[in-house]
Amino acid sequence: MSGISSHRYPSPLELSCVQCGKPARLYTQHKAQGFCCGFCATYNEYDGKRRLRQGGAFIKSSKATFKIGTVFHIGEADFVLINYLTKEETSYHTSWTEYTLFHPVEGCRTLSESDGHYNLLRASRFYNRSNLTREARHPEKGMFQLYSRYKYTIRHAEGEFLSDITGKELPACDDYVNPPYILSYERTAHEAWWYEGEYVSHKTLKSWLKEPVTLPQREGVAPSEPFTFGIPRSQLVKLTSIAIGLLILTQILLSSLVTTPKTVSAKGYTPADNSAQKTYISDPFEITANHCAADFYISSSSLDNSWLEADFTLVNETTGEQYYFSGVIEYYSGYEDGEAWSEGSLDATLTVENLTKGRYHYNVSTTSDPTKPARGFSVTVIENVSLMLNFWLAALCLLAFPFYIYIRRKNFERRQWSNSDYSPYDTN
Amino acid sequence: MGQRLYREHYYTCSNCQEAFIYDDSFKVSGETIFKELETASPIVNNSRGKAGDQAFVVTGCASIFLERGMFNIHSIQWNDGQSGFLIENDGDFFMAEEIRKVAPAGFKKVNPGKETELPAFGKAYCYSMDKISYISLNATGKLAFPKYTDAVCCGFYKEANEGAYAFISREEVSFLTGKFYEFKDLNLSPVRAIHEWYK
Repeated sequence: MSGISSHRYPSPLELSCVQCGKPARLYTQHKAQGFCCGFCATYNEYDGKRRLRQGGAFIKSSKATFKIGTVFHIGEADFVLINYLTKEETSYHTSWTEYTLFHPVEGCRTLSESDGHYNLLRASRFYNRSNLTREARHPEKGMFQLYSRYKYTIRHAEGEFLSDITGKELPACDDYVNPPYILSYERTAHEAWWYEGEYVSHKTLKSWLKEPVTLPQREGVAPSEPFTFGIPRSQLVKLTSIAIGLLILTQILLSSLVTTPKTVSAKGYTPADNSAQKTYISDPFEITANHCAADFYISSSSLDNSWLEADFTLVNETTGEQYYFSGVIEYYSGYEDGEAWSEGSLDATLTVENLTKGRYHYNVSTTSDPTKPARGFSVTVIENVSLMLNFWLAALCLLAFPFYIYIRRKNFERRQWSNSDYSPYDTN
Repeated sequence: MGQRLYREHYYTCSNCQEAFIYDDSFKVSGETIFKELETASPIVNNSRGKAGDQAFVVTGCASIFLERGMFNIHSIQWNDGQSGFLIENDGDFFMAEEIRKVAPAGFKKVNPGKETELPAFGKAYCYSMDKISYISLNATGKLAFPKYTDAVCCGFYKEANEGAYAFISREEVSFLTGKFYEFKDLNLSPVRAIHEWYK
């Protein structure tokens, strides 16, 4: 009664290949349905009388990265590599290798390698309840998209197998992805297993092994490979929203607490004659803070289907520094096809930045429509105004990084789906 | 042999290691039984455990060899004296809470990959359906099903870790319904030492 009384897990079962007689070790004991000899590649299978017989032959792969018996320390458990299979997809003839890892309590895991990318999968009690065959909603891992639908044949095999690998029936498979996760569905007439897995980086994979290993070079982007540049999408959206919120808050605080807009000059100008061009000089006024901005608000309520252009020269009387700026106000209105219309405005605001503290005056030269010269206008100067330009520049800078990440992510996903028949991207 | 058992129980002789199944007349049934097959399980005879509030002890094990795989049905005895089953299959540990038998006619067609309505259990997903080739029996226990060889075994699961096994023959269908547990949640002791188990 060795199977239930012994208090030590048994050492691997020692057998001999029926073809070449060379030794073989079965880590899974009598769970194994058969084994593929590591020397002559003959498949040894148990018959109905529990005797080993030759069940065909496979070709040993020269590309297998790991040897049978390699120990993988995953979590708290020591898994042993008991077999590998090289599978070939029947339509596009792409191939990949699946390594089966076994632990007496945890059961089996599949380490799948394709183009140097790895996934670790295990049998799952998930099944797709959705009627949409191109999507699968996992209760914890979210929505998965169908990536590929295929059948495969076995090209290379070695090690012991817990299920039959010599069957004629080709399993129908669907792979769904939601990086870094993958769901794989494999169906025959007798079984319909769902597997769930996760992308494994080279660094993580190497950390499971005691001995150093040379892993195959990664090529392209794997279906389940996560976009690892920077931060996850949800976190990026969250952080950007927080940053924009803080920026708005800062703008409001600076506007209300740090700077207090104040009118320092307000003057109306009325021309003495009807000439179209005039020059006026303002009274002196004080700018009370350094590095402040000031708004020059021009208004002319007498404009009627006409325009007024104002060229300013702002003079710092203390330093002699001069600032030149100009603006136009124009206003047109009428009545056409039974409807009133208007365009333009009777006022305009011109902003001058980075003024230094001191005594100022301005000269303003106006030009107006010679047929309808302006009858008057006013200029109001307000110091310590907040500049929205700074806000928009800061917002642009904040959005530049997420936008860059977004573009990179889209390119990454486009490449990721380039090998899929179900790509959401246009691959023409 | 020195031990009297009841219908649908098995017993492995400690001297000759032969396993026997008894019917009402205490005769060996027509099962294909192999002796001395290693269970490859961490669970041993007399392992004691707890599922929820109920304590149990493992009394034996029937290893079921399908055409495409193998799993263990451990016979257990609850602390109230009732017998039960703990099915161990590829890292899953399933405690059978209820055993029901129905006539094959009352059981609808099973299709792996589809949901099937199981009597008094509801809809469940069928993930496997395979013929039993032979069995191996260790120690003592009650069979989950009277006749194994050539019967068909189906595995089902649904939400909340609930599951079922169905053993289908021409005569009857037996359902074992219950829950899947993590090994650590069964608090089994003693179990086989599995430190460096691969050496």
